[in-house]
Amino acid sequence: MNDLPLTLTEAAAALRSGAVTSVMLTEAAIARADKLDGVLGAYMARFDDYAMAAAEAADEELAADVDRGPLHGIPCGVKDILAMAEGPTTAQSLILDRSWGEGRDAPVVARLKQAGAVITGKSTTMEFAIGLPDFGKPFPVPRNPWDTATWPGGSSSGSGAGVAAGLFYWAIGTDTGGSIRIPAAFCGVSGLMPTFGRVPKSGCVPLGYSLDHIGPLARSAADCAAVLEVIAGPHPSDPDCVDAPFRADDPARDLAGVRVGVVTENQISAGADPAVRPALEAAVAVLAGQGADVREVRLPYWAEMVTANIATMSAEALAYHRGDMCTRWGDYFAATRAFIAQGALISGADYVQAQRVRRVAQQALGELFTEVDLIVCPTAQAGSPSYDSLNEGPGGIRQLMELVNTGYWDCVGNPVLAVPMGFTAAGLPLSMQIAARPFDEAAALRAGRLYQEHTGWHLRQPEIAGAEPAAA
Amino acid sequence: MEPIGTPGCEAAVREMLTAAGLSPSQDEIAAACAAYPAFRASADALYDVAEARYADPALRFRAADTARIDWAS
Repeated sequence: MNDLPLTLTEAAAALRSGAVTSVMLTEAAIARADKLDGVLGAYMARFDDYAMAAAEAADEELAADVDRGPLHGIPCGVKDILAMAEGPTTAQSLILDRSWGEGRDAPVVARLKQAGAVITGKSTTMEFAIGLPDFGKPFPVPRNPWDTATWPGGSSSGSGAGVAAGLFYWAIGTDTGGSIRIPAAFCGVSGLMPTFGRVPKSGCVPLGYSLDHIGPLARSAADCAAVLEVIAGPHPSDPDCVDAPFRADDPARDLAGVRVGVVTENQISAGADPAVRPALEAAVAVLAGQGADVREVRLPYWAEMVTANIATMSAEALAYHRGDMCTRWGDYFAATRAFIAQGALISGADYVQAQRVRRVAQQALGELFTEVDLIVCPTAQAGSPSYDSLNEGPGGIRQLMELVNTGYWDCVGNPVLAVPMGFTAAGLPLSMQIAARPFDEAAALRAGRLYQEHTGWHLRQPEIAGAEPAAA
Repeated sequence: MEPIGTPGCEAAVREMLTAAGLSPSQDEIAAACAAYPAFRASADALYDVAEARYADPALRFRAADTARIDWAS
């Protein structure tokens, strides 16, 4: 896509000006995938023919002034734990019955199709949206375009790597403990975990029923807003999903009067990469330069929410998986089974207590949000870890949990946008989280958009993406 | 429950995993045992949150939720 628009919103504008066609965008995406995906492992399945047909249809419709909105005709990916009629859902696992959701679209996928999005394929995930790759299993190992010896983050690994490398303009991911924001951070792209209940999660293989969120990874905050507008809204199959308005259009030109709380406690530990703190300080200075009123705050019940995230996720996941884990233990990835088995080590009372403390933390955070309008903190405490440094077993999961600052927010359910904020000395991306009140994604996206209008981190591309696509 | 980090603790972890029908390898059991003391302590700490003494859990159940539409239907 070297000579093509870089962001979703730019591509949408170029389509309407006639500078490009959807077929051009899709052909370029396919050529890029042909060239790079053997290394990156971003796709679990590709739907080239389907995508080209969708692109041709989009061009015909746009030529006839049938405009389905900003996703119309733009290539994208969908994480392979959402059902899509064009192919089986694997959850990147030997376990999931391939007939699950066969021939059906998850509500989110149906909304993307209705919006004219060109779905190029299913992107890779960590097995059942948790854990790490298992090199002994017959699935692609996703790699980070910034350094293919490192992990792209997870679990929406292919979605993050694919956006960063230009295999597609945006992608759908899911987030239960950080699975949108972690790959966004490690791959140097933007990612939005919407409010719990903003987007229907039916048709998505569950990990933690009370924690799962579906949202976009894309180049920019504005791109994320465009996707959210399409996928948000109630659906009768998801009782958690509420009817709350969201509009991507936002005329705000600055952050005057916006109170921004900055969190460093528990977010930048002694082991953090030395580039994280100055990168956060620089990012906060940009927000202040836009008129934001910045102050230091602390997140209430941090340690308790980190525990509640793990306890709740492992218990809810074990309820779903126990039957298969009893009979097919060895078919699970090592890290997946190690994490989920923790659910057997907590009691029913522990689980309920975690939900009681979640309520307490939710209320305390709500009180904090009467004093500030946004909260910012680093997404991760370092750049992406190398595969050599990661333990594939339970130690690896704990290693990762200490590296990221994401699970708290899944527990309280607030919307959080992750945006690139710089690089480590080794050239690996760093990221800032911008959290807002429940159902106020617009506030986080506005701050993200204005931040990105004054910085260029989100437009940086890895060297691997700069290579010309292979000749057809 | 035996004190954490003791052989009795290891036996308890093994028993809980076995009771759940799981069959991890010896290495996996050892890893779970090594991590358990900290995991248990953090779970126990949830009961130390005084503000949760009378808190209602964030669970969902709706008596009238009888007509939910299957997403795949």
